[in-house]
Amino acid sequence: MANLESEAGELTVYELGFLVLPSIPEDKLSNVTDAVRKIISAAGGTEIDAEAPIKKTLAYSMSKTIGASRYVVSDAYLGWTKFEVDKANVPIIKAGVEKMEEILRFLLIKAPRETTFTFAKARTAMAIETTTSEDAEAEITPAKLSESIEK
Amino acid sequence: MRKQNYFKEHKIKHIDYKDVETLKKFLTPHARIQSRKRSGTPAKFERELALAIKRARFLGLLPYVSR
Repeated sequence: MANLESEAGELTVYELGFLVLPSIPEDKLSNVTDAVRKIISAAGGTEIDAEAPIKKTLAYSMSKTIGASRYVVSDAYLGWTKFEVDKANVPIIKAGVEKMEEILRFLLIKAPRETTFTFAKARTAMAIETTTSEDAEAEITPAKLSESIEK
Repeated sequence: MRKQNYFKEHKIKHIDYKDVETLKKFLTPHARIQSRKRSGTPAKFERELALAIKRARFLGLLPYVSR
């Protein structure tokens, strides 16, 4: 393992996507994101970008066991945060998030520095698409129809 | 005829696992990943796409199986 030394001290950009249990009230979601942020900063990470969790219907039901009780859920809050941290400290973050009871599931991956996709962007893109298709439909009906009839 | 490259056309440099609407375009009705023969995606993008779909499946954004 010759390159172990060179790896230390190098900062890498990671993205943590996480699902929060739907039983948590919406006004307390910020507590969960703050807790995640604390874990990251405790491991020496600096946040680059993040988006607040939003409710999503899951494609299949998942379960989480807390103590003796097992919760089966079919929807959850999906949030993500992007941060820069030393490679060596990633296991600390992973262990920290694993211990959080509010987190149903999480995904810790390497990511590019620039953010190309956000839920907000996707929502506006969807809105534009629907309005343009509505406009296209509307364009045909009132004025043009009467013109074409006159002709 | 050369098939189109969706990602180059839409200027998507990085295929994000959260971009479910885009990923859905590359699934069959059974929620399996479309073959390259069907989708016409270049090998490089196909690899990225497959990884993104698998990540989305893990987080419950896309199904593993359907129907």
